[in-house]
Amino acid sequence: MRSLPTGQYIPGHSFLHRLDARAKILCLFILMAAVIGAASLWGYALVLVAIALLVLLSRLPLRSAVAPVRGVYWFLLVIFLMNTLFFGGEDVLASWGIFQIAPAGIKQGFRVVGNVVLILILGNLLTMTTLPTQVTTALASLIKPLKFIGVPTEDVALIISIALHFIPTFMEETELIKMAQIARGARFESRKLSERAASFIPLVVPVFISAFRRADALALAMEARGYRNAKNRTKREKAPLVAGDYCALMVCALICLVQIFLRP
Amino acid sequence: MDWIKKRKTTERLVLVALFSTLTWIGAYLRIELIPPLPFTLQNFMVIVAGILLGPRDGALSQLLYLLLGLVGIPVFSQGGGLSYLLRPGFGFILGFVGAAAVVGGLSRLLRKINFWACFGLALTGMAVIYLIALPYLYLLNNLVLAAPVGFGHLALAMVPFFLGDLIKVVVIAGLLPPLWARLQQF
Repeated sequence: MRSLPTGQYIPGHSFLHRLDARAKILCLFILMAAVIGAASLWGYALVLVAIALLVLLSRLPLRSAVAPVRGVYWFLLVIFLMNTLFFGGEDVLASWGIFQIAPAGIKQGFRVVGNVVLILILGNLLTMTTLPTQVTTALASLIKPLKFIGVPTEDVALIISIALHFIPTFMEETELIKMAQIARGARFESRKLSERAASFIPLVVPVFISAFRRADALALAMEARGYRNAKNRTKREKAPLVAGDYCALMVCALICLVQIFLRP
Repeated sequence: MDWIKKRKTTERLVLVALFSTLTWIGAYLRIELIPPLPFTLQNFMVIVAGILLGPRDGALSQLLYLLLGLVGIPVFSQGGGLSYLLRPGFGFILGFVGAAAVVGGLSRLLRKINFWACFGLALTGMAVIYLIALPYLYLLNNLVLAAPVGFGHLALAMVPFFLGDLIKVVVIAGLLPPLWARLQQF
């Protein structure tokens, strides 16, 4: 059987890898707020240094730490140009038709691009140092307070873990069905449009049938083992937050606070 | 239409998980219907999720699909990760949630599943996806990226995609009844 997809995870033992996933997600949100709230040059310097330190702490190769930015060069260029050309402002340096280049616009362009780049790197740090399973378990425990407004948080946590186990299994199964149907003479490259469209049927029906069989078997197995409802379930491994996690949270909160004072 | 009502809670939980996964599998069931346009079954899965699971569970399954992608599992058509929020295509994934809910609600009113009923459901689902994707693109452009693009212009730019999706609607409507017939044995 294929293993669970690890996504963008890069194995390691750095401080960031060892940090509790719940703390990491909270830190991510706090630092994102700090980035978005940055309004002065000093404010940007602060978040820039903080993120640079995080990248160092994660011991990820620099190439992979900035990987999400490399994919969106064009996108960033377009945002920058849009902001610079349309923002306008005083002391227009050059203008052509509806386009105006002014210092305020250039500043705005740098700001927006900076925000996007920093947030991309932050989000990436989380998914590169945390296994998807850890992130989803952490999310499931972070949304627990939503229970009070009627969200079935335990069910959601269970569904997520089932889905994570379905993903590799179904991938394999689908490939197998595709091959089997080709071997039986299914024609996916027919000339007629209607025939091509109809060639989906021998693909879709078996995929569904096999998926539903598995789902049925799983539900039956769960009930046979005494699964009733998710409410009173206990976890096999309990991992309380440790001092390091609290420290990380406090540092992030501090950065966010300082950011507020640095606003002009 | 009360396929899901016969199910026990455990089965429903598993089915919701199943459809989060099937939406992802849908992206891999791809056929070149009209050569430059790859036709994937993702929209099909969204609509089936709505019909089979109903509005609440259907939407939940799509919401979890979205969540799995955002935490970095490569379930979206171009990978996954938080940075997907900034992609123009994310609105469509967000639209899946709404589409599953609306289609689920509407399918409760149907008596039987035939081509035209499915055509209506698929068309509504597709429209809902666009109704959510367009404002998302608009907001992304205007608020986050601070790039002013008119709503009308965006809508106009979407028209060719929507026409392509209309063909998909016909295919989806054709696929649903035979599948429905087979699923009755479960």
